[in-house]
Amino acid sequence: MLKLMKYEFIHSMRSFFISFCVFWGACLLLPFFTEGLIPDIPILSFMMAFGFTVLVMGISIALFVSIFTHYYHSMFKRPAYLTLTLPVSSLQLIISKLIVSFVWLILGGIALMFGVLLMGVMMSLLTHNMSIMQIFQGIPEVFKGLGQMFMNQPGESLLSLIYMIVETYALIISIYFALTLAHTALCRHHRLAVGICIWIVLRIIFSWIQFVLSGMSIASFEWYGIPVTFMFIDLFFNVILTFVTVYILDYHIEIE
Amino acid sequence: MSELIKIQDLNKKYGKKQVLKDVNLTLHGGQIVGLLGPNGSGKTTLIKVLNGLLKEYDGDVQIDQQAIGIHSKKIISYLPDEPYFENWMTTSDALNLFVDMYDDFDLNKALSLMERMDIEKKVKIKELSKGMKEKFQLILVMSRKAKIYILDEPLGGIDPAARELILDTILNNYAEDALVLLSTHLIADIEKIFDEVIFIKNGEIILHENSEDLRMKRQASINDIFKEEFKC
Repeated sequence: MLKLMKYEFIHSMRSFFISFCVFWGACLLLPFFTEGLIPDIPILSFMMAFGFTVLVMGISIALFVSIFTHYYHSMFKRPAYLTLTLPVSSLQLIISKLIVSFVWLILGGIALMFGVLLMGVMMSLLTHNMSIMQIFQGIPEVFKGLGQMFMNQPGESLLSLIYMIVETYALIISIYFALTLAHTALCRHHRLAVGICIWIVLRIIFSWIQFVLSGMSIASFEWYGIPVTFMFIDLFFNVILTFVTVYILDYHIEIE
Repeated sequence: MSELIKIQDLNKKYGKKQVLKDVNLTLHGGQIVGLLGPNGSGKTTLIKVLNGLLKEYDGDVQIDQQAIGIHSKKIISYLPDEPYFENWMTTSDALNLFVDMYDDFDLNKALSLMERMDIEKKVKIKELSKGMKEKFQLILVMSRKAKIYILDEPLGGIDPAARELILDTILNNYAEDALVLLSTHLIADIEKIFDEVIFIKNGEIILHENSEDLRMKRQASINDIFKEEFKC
């Protein structure tokens, strides 16, 4: 299992690292395009309100695409002849891919923070509104704030953290399931496109069921203080999707 | 010799198209079997079923008296008809992967075969020619001490001058009790090594016989018999 994860990590490294590099490149270039556009807004406000949103979306999409393409490539294209004939079970294969993707998403979070820092440094160099030292002095403040949040509301903070983990797992396993389902006898053509469609439909249906069963509405949804029912529904779907994906790989897969 | 592959009433469809039809086959260890048929006859489909790459079929397939699964993957050394390496991989990366993943992989044998075929370590696989890639992949596959070797068109991208070397590599690197199932349509180059031949046509096995008996019976080479059977 560890050897499998090692190779999974090595195999996926390039696609994820490319995403990070593109993101960091965008972080460095963005201040050049926005220079002089919003001169009256303080640098930090601008970063938080606009830059941060754009960057989070950018890296999220890049990571999402990387998970999609890496799984598709290693399981259903030419490298699948090697991946699917390795002497390991389908469950080991899926779990190792899940863990490695999860690690990449965590690294993605770190890459995001680093990107924001890069952007801050670039903007301070361009606008002279803030010194680089001030930006670096702000980093401990962020961690201090997070620490205080955990100290003040440990239960809710822990629950939110677990929910983030469960939701990340749900995102990855739903991608794996959708692409695997598209590679069965049910689908003969345009399997990648069909996989993407299955994934979109699946996420909509699951979210709807989740909101209905937990009695929440999208308008009242907040990441902080998620009800336990909401999380358990997600967890339940994750387990089901994991075993169904393994079942399809064991009994219905078609590598043509 | 032990029964290593047993297929009973195997049927496989791609949509409405029947690609394997009532295939029944029993293959034992200690022999080289040629799976012969023209393009589109079902050779690669049958090989994919044996390697667990196509799971949806009717019938029963047993490898070493067990259903296809981890055990079959452990004992089968499979050479697909096209290279499966990632573009970024070097020859050393691929060797390390085989060392880590297959207990029966003999690194020293692989290195000596690489030296014989002038393939260097730490070379990017994508920089190798098609023929060299196929040679390298064959080295990896034949350096395993497997019970079953399944080789799908091992001579496909190899130039005629190097075919002898490939055949020599196959013949000198499998255990005597192992089964080698080899698919090809380049029969003239390879027929001398077959103990048994299987002719497959439109997904059906039309002939499965000892190659020497067949030559004697028909008074012709396997290549000529093949041409006769698959005449357009």
